[in-house]
Amino acid sequence: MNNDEQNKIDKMIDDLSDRLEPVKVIKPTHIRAFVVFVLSVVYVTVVTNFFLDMRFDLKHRLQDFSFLFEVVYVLLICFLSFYAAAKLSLPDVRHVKWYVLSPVLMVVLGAVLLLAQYISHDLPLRIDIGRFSYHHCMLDGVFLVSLPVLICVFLVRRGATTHPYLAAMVSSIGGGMMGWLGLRMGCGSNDISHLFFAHFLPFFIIAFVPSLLARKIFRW
Amino acid sequence: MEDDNQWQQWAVAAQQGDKKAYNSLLRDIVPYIRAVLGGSLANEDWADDIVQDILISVHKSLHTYTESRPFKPWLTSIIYFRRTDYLRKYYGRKKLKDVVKEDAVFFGENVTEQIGYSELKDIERYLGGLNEKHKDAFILMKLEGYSASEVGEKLDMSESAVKVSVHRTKEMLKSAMEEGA
Repeated sequence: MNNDEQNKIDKMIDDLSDRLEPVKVIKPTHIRAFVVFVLSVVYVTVVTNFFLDMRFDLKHRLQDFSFLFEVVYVLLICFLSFYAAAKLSLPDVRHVKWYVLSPVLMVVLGAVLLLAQYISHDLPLRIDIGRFSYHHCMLDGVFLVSLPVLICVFLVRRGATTHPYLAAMVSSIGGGMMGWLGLRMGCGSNDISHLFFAHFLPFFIIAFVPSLLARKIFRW
Repeated sequence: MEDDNQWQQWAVAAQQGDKKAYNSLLRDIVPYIRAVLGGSLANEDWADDIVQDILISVHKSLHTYTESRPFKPWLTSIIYFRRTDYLRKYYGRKKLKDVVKEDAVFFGENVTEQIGYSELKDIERYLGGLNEKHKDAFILMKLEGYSASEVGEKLDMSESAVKVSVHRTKEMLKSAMEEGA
């Protein structure tokens, strides 16, 4: 290292020190994750209730154990995703793979359980993308997914992530699953092809846009 | 371990606005940053640029450090992240240059062509007459592909000041070239 470079670094240190202002230390991970979770749940509830209408058999479905289990399970995935996103917003996060793997594995397991449920009931696996209800649910889903993903992106941007792609991925999972939950509350269909092609796939594609732009979105 | 405790105390004091502690912290971590970078770079000169990037990153992310966690892993994560970032940018630019060199049409028109060559010399001569900051800003942004905010960080200028400086240089360069034509 020559003297010029050392002088540059010394000058930079002096400048940075002069510019220093007291900083507000970032809130603990669980609190930030919880805030995003609550905001997302409130948003999805409000949108489903006031703009998209709740499904006609919701009261009946909420007494069904498998439906209740699904709701709790999806909420858990959402919370774990937001928690992982909050963790990943810190530069020195440890045990990264567990934070990311837990929501991912839960999504995969959930999909397998759903599929198994339908296979065990011997239900037909119809694919009819052209139906109106599909487009309707896809549009509703855009509303439901967008804000939770944006809130989560904001949560990560408040920190300084050193894992932009993973942070984008868990943000997308959290937002995508919130969209799933909202549509399950609003749409009366239990058809597996509808659930997959109209409730799951489009939102995950939309929600995964942040993953493609992760380095730009989470640049700091 | 002693380093870590001391750095931890300085970092916490810096978060509360203690400039002296912050200055000591930044000066003290530079040798550590160099030690972590040492040996992992193909060119030792890159280390100076990366050290500067890391110091800016520490400044930007100071709020993400909490007293309950050790300081060294926090700093080391930033060091690795910025090193990877730097290498990605460096090799990205190198790839672009290689493509340009291989492009026979571009090469013929802009490098071996006498007119293009003299224009290049004019630009070099003109840039030589500018003050260092304007020249560096123009070269970094227009020739090396850095963004305005990155140039601002490197040259300690605001983003808008960089844009204004580069725009003026470009306009002056344009009129100088037109006058010369």
